[in-house]
Order: sequence, then structure tokens, then C-alpha cells
Amino acid sequence: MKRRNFLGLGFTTMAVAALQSASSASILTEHPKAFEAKSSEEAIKNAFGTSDVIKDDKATLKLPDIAENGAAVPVTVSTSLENAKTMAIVIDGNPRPLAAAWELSEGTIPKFSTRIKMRKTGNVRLIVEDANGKLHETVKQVKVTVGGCGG
Amino acid sequence: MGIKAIAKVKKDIATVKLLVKHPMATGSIGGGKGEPKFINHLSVKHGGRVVFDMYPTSAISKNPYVKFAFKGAKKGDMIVVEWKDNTGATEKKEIKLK
Repeated sequence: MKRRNFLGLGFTTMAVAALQSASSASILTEHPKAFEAKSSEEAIKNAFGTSDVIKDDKATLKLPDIAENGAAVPVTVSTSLENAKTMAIVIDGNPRPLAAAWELSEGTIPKFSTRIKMRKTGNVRLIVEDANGKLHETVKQVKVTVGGCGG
Repeated sequence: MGIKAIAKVKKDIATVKLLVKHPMATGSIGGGKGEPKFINHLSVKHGGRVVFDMYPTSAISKNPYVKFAFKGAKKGDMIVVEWKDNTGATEKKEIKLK
């Protein structure tokens, strides 16, 4: 099982993570602040230690141009990068931009579909962390007719 | 609460669609009322190996749907789907690959 280890995964972090969760260290146990961040840049920085991204076509984001219902916007994320470590969806217009993250392991095909909530029209970002810890970003704008964050 | 799944194998690739019954409530963060209640870890294991490891937030829609695929599966294998939410609630279900 491959796990992130780019941010000085010391003994203390391991011990804390072990106490917090029965499973091993994860983006949630190691970088909980990423989920509380109020801007996309802060969320990316808290999750990955940097907000420097390479804008290329290695990360693919499939989203509708117009979402009639912001409470359930279908999304598919994927990457052509081999041995990528982490993928994250970041939504600029939401109060907490980091919407979801996936940790990848051997045998997992890096392509996931789900449904997201969007409060308003704005950019959705897909961040993919490659095997060397570099971040790749794809951005797509979605127009939201009816926002979907309340409730 | 409840987990529904369709899991099919073609060659050695298993495609899994999951539907989890859960409110995924944003609480006041999203401008609503009440306390937030959302799944913050959803994982799937195949023979003890993690094949899907997702960290959702309340920005994932109510009754979350996810689709993914993994290699190295055969018909009749079991997968274990497990989630945990921010209030500590958990659910676990075994599903047979068809």
C-alpha cells in the first residue's frame, strides 16, 4: 500500500495518526486543516505543502458547462500520470473549497465519478499529486443555476 | 443508512458503483441549520488491500454516489465497503463481485 510521505512523516505524526484513526496516515489525519481552509489556495497549500501547480493536460476533469442543480453536479476525475499519489477536487465558490480527496494505491485505476455540491458559478479545480510530489492542475468553470450548499 | 452496490468484473478489472444513504449535511457552513453530519472517509478493500480510499466532505451530494474500478479481481471475490462520518458513525458491508 503506497502512502503519502512527502511531508516529513515523522514518528510523532505517525503516533498521532495512529491514535486518531485505526487506519494508517491519510490526508485527513495528517492535514485536517486543508478541509477547513476558506480559499482554494489555502486548501491546496494545507493539503500538499505548496500551492505551486503545473497547468497541463495530465489531470482530466469532466463536468457539465451548466449545472441546473448545484446540490448534485456529476463529476468524473482522472489522470494519465503513472503512480500518482493523491487527487483532490477544489471548488472556488464554496465556503470550504476542498470537496473531496482520493489517495491512490497500486491496482486502483485513477478515475472516479461522484456528485458534488456547488454554491455558485465558479471554477472547479482538479489537483493531482504525481509520484514526485509535483502538483498538476486542471480548471473548469461551471455555471450554477440554483446553488446547492444549504442543508 | 445503507450501502447499495453494483460490482462487476470484466477480464481482471472490477467496476464498482456505490450508493450510500447519508444526509451529508453541511450545517451552518453551507448556510443551513443544524450540525454538520457528513462522511469523511469511504474505503473499499479487496483481499485486505485498499483499492479505493476517498476523503469526502459535506460538499459531496446527499446520499453519495461513487464509481471506480480496480485491477486484479475475479468473479466471486468479496470486497468490503466501509465508511465513517464526522460524528463517529460507521457502516461496513461485504459485497460479492459478479
